[in-house]
Amino acid sequence: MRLVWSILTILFLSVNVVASSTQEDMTFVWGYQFEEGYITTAPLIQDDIIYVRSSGYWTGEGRPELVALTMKGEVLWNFTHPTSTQHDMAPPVVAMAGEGSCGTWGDLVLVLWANGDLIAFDARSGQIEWNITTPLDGWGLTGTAILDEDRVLVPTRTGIAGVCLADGEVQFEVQLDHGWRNGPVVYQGMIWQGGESGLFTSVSKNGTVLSEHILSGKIRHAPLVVAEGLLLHLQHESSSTIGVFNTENATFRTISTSGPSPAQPLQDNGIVMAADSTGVTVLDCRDVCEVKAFIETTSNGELSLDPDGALWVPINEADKGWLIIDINTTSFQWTASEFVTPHDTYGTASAAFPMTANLEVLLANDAGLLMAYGTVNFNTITSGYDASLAMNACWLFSLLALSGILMGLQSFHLSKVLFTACLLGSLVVLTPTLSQEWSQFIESESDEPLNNGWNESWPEAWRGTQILTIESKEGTQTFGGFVGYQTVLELTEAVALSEGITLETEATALGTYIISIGELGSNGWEYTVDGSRTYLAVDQQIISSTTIIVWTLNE
Amino acid sequence: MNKGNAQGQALSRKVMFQTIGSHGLELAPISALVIQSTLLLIAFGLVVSERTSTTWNSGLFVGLLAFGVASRIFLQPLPNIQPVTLMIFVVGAVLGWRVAVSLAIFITLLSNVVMGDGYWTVFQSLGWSVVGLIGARTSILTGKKLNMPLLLAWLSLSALVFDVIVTCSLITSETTITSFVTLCLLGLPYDLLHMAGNALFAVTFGQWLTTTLLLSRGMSEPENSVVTQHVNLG
Repeated sequence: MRLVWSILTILFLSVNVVASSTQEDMTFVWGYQFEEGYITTAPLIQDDIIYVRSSGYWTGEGRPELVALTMKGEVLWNFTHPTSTQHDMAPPVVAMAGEGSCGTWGDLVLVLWANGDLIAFDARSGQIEWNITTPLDGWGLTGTAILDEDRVLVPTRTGIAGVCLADGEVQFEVQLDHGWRNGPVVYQGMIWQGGESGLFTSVSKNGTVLSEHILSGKIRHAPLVVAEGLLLHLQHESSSTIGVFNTENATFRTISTSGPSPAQPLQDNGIVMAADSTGVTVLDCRDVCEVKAFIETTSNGELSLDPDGALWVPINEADKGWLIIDINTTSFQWTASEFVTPHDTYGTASAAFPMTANLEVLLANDAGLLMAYGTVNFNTITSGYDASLAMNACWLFSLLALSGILMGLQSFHLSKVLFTACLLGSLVVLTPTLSQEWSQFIESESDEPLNNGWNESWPEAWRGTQILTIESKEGTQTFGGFVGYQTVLELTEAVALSEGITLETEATALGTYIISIGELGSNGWEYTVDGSRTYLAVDQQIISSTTIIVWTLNE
Repeated sequence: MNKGNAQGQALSRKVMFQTIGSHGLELAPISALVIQSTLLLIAFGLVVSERTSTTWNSGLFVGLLAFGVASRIFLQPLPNIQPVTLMIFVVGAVLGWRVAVSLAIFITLLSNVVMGDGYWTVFQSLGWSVVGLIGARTSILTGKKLNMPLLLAWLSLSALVFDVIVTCSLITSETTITSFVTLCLLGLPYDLLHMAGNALFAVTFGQWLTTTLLLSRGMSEPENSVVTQHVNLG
């Protein structure tokens, strides 16, 4: 019996030995929790004030907020937008006091809202200085505005507008492509901006369209100026393309094909970091852009650099924190560390760095929680290596070692207890991953008969697009013609957004759960994909470009 | 809120085994009352029949019940780790199936008052009752000593049986044999957790629990015989 336990222990050790990680104590200084909603954009820091906004799809009484906080986490002022009910994904912009041809202005915080409003707040008091409304088409402002001398260039839902900082006067407004999280850049005296159908346009500073170019994917970020031209990360249905648009000869050079749902790329002195659902691509664009490194992770929002030049990547997965990547810009060797907090969940907001005596980093996530940390510490990991797993494994390793010692001391009962505790602990740690992989495997092996559910009464224009049907006691509604959505959740949210259907979701450790659609919940909603039941949560269920989803209410 | 039968049955099954979520269909108040009353009647019936015919300590029963309920509630965050399985199994093996089934029903009913009651309560009660029956039909004792390898083997089987029975709570009119098998397969990682949990509790508490129950039985038998003798004399 003793021999059996010894062998089992050795076997267990052999599969669990991992390198130990360097670890310092993390110091959580304070947190600010929004009552409802997510935080999808990075906190903005200016003159010892932190500005952070909430986002969400608002169906009840909750509404998005903008909050100004001190460095101690105390609320200076806040503003709740009464009518913005879609996802507010535009990062706030600070405009320092100045004067220009259209007047003078004080320190402003410019906030773009999903209902099309652009509101300029006094940075200190929160008083509204001016407010304009831009076109609404499903939703309004979701992109990244930039400052251009005495005005702000605003990516509107239908194009771009130049707005005077002093009084909000719209100096020009031009119709371009539809926009979603896009943004302009000023390059060679022209404004460049892309949109949802891949239309990439240059506009003069007085609002005259100068050139239009059709690219092959959605442009959901502001172009990055690099030596070769303008770098773009184009989004396709299930992949993306990183390339450079040469403004001289109007050609697009593809550099790399990557994963779906790109994040907003970032540049630092010619080094470009572009992320998506498969990882972070590092490119050297100091001369001709070329890929230099790739780090596996999942990130679909914003990226940021800390004061030491390390890249902070919000990992958009349940229970994941931030990946910090140190890149040697000469050799392009990199090391990755994971910053974990007790409140980790999905996240797209990048980290912000206050650089004060007692605060080092501000982190926000989809739980609507802003966290201020005073001492940044990392679990050092190498490529593809999960630090939290390593920590757990270290504990298990220690227990196993103790188990072995006890066995040597002939304390067999305690040794067995420790061994089985290790076994159980390992399984508890591994089960979420194991279960997800297993579910996907089972789903791929499942040979349930498929009936894609096409209804001949539907418009022919819907063929080859994504279609969603909602069946309840109130009847059946079908919506079609959608393209490019990656998951059941994305498509469902898109339909809800475009049709004004309320949607209530709940983030669980196992994925997103849809509680109610159109304020109907009852015994729960069930979905099929192309006529087949599936086995994954809605945010994990990947769909094809021609998927038909049917939501049915269990009465 | 019901997460069963909606949005992917694997999610349902995972949530089910997490024990913090909901399971299958929730019950209307009258249905719940009928089912709970029936289960209570069965449990009480078994307790009463056991008390009149054999020997066991009611204090110990209450203690086991309290521990079983507390352990379920306390271990809610851990997915499918169920010390109750070991307890019911050993009680079945030492004290017999009536006590085990009665304990299984009481623990399920009482703990689900806190953890959420519904259609699945019936299946959980049934699952643990079957575990008690398996325990009562096996010989895990060599004298007063527990045959640990045998216990671990039976507990592993019991975990699987329990999980399959509980999975039955997700059956709907649309469930086919294939989809049910798929559903069972999807829960395999959680079945492994159940088995590993059983192993830990068996190794840690198995012998102690067995000895305690044997002691209880040993103490109760003379008392019972005295009472029986007294009644007969009267």
